[in-house]
Amino acid sequence: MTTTVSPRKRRVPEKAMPIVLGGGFLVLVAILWQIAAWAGLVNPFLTSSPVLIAGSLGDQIGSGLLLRSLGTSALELVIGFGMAAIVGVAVGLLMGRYRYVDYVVEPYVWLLYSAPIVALFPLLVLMFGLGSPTVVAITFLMSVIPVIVNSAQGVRNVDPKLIRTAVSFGAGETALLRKVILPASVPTVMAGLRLGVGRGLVGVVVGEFFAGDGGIGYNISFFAGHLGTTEVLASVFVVIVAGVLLNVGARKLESLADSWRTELP
Amino acid sequence: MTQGLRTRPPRPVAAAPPSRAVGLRWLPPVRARFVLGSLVVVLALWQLCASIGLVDVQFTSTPVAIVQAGGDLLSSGELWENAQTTLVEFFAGFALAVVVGVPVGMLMGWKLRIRQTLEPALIALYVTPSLALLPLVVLALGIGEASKIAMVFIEAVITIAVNAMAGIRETDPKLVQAARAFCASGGAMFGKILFPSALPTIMAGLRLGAGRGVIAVIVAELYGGTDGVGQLISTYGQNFDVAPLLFLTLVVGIFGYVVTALLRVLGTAATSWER
Repeated sequence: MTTTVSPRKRRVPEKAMPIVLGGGFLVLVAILWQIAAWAGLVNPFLTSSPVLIAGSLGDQIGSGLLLRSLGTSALELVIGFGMAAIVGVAVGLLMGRYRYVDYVVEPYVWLLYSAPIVALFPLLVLMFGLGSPTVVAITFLMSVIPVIVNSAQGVRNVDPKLIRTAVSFGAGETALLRKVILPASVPTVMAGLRLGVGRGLVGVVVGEFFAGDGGIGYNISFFAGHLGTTEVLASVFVVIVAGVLLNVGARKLESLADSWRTELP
Repeated sequence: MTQGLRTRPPRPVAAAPPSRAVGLRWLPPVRARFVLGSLVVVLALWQLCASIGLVDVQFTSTPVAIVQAGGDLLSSGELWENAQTTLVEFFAGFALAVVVGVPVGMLMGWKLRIRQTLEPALIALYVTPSLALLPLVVLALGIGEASKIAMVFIEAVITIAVNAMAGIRETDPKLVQAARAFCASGGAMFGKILFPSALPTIMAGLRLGAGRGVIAVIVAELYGGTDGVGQLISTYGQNFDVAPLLFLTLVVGIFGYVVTALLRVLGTAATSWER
């Protein structure tokens, strides 16, 4: 007992180091930025300053603009990514399970993967009109690819011994899917969903640049058009916070979905 | 088809290929046949639906029209002229990202305190869409080439740095301990242990960074610019001229694929000592 106490004493500050150094770095950057803006070292028109950004965030919250925009963007993300999750997992399972489906669908997946989907926005605007439906379509197309690729990989990686055992015990295709393939591929599928939601966020923000009529991305583009650097940076800050929160949430869900798994001796 | 396959084995048996090789020999053609067949069927159906009026040609164009539009773009020199600008922007931004991202990432992987200081900021940027910075970059650098280069740089450098950091950190600690036990200097440790072991991950980072960079340069040109492939796409898009739009999107997709494939070959060559 006494031996474990002394290393722990030293370990506590060591554990705090990432927070102290990492957080300190961000605070330092903010302070230097503020000082540079006050001292007139940088052009505040181009770089704004943390105090101005905080003020602008306060204004946007007060006027309800921030909440409204967040609502619009979140709805687009939920619908677009939700559809991508359903379609992506279904297509990925089929591709992973049946070789011929894989061969037939493969070229289109790679096409979508390497083509700049945002460039298709005029086409999508033509189909869905300017506004949320087009942004949802871009979000869907952006986020469906990693979900498909990962789900297919997850199914392919299922231990063939498990499948052979289940089949020899008389499992049909449905039971096989529900009891063996799906549970065994959960980690890879979840990783795909996490990657997909990240790309979905890109889709929402960039989609709103070009085809939106509201939302955070639209605000960024709109304020930039009116040379409002401070408002742009405030919105970018919101996007960064949203991205970090989404990623943290996705990782939590990922470990939660995997927590039932027990290591067999 | 199956008959042809069944009659095949007897002859090569004399050459005594292992049974695995027989499977491998005819497996790729099956795959290629299905991929090609799927492409042909979809293109033919697309063309057919458009010509009998099942789908609106204004929305979807047709494969023939896309090929024609591609021919026009190529023969008029319009594509090559704009592609030159885009290529210069992409490679300038990507080269800058490699020059900055690899050393910074490796330093972060190597030195604990540097990593602890920079990691939260880097990861925050890694998980957020840095394309959100695009209007800001345009505001600061104008709609010329500088803002595109900056966007490619930002998109690529974060991915490259994160992977370089991961590569160094994944080095087998036993190797590091052994080198330390033999009193390796800092330089030797880095040049002989850390860098070679991180190289595959660094190359993977370059590949991902290049893919993101291609998207970034096109999106930046779409957003505003005077020339470049993205600007060309934007012009045709504003006229709702779908055939050249789809052709150009395809060209960009193929370019991204080729760059990624080239980097993959380069990475395999650079790490060939591993096997």
